[in-house]
Amino acid sequence: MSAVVTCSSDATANRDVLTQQQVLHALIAAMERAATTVPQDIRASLQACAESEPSETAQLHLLTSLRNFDLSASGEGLICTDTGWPYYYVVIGNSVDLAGGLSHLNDLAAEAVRRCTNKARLRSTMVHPLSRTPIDGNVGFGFPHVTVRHDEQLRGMRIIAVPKGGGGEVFGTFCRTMLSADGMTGVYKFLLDSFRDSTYAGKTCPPNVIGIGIGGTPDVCMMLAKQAAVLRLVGDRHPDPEVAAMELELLDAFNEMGVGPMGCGGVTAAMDVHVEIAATHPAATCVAFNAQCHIGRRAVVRLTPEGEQIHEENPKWFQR
Amino acid sequence: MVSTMIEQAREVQLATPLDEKTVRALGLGDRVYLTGQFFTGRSRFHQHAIDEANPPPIDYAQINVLMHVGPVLKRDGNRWVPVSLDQTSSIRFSKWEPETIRRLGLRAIIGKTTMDEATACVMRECGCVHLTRVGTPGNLLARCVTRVVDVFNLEEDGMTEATWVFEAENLGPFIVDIDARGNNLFRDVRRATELKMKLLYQRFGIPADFTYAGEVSD
Repeated sequence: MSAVVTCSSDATANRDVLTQQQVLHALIAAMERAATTVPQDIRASLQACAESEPSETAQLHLLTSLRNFDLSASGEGLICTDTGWPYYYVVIGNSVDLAGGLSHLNDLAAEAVRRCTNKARLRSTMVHPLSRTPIDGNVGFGFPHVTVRHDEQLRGMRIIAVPKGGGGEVFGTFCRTMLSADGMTGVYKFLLDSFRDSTYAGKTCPPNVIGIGIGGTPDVCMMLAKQAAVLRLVGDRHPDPEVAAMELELLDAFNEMGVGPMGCGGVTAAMDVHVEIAATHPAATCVAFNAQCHIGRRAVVRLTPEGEQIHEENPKWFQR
Repeated sequence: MVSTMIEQAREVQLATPLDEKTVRALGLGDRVYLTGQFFTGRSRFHQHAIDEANPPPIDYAQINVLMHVGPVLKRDGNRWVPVSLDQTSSIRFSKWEPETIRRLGLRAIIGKTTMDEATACVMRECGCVHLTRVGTPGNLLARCVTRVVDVFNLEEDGMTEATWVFEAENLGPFIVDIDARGNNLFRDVRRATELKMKLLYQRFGIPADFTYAGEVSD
């Protein structure tokens, strides 16, 4: 990280060129899978939650979801009706190119979302923010939203599709820039209040995965919270022990509120808490909170340099 | 653990249209299955029905159950086939619902989460309940729909916000979370949560009267 590399033989020679068809099909496959097949870590976590819930009602919520997921995974229906805002996160290896140029990635993502909507894999959900009229195919006005990251080690491309539902996003997003005088006391108050308010009556469809951003400017902080909520596996701990301890401390606190599955009361309202941090200004601390609903929709497709699709579970998104 | 009346839950099979007596007999936590016709509505339905005083031309005396849902359906030739039917959050329609219940004579509203105190009061007064979904049941519920009877405002509002009339068999279970006797499941859970919050504030050293620095108070 200390020096600028002036010439890299890898970066210019032996380029792997993926065709637009290969990338389009991988984008479609990832979004279709995300809409129909619950990630393994989420399923295992919900199963464990169901076994530990003492109340029959709490168990019924979780077991019903698990039965519902079996149907969509076998081709009948969707994980959830509200397929929400379509997001793509794409990790691009240094040696890979897209035929016609990487600038076409957004167009291909749009085409993938349009096709998924036409096949009823995504609900026609997006509307114009002023007129409220439906946006054809969920495409236009900034969506699908595509975030790109580059990776020196990766060969090929890793495509992560996240249809983010309204429950978690509308009711489970909070951000506050507080003055440094509030210290960690203010940070914890904000987070405890956010969890209580977002899960009330099951608004965010708990048990949730909670993403938290601390530091940075509000836009960076909220981006970290969102990515922490949707792009880390349940059980994953931050490499910084101080941050990891905070994750576990908050996980216990959130569950002790007794909100339970779908807000009906119980011992599990959060499956995991993921915290990401960014440098901040001495005057202030920004804190952001983002909830992923209990279906935890995400799907990862790795596209090899030869254009082969490989389903993976771990987005491996964060580089810290 | 939060203690509510829900553990004495009964399973109840009901046929629509619902009558007042049947609805008033429902208790908090009952698990309800419905057979018969119901209609769907979200923001656009409520805007048409209340703001524009122009509800879709449905026989509301016969179809008196409203479901808050934006379903996914697919076309099979000339037929609509339900794909997924997960209820959306009812709390966001609270501003319209007291008037909607009164004007249309609704007996049950199926959704997610809860509704506000004003709506709960009208439910008690008129004989109406709120039913909340169990987990994420959209595919299981779509299977219970036996017929797509009608659709209104599809062109203008799109599939999600249109008003659909469905016929179903043994659709459920749904949990009674606001009954017609003034009980409210989520209010009970919230009270228990507030007690836990006090302990958590203590654990994290947050004074009960904490205010964020720089907040102006008058």
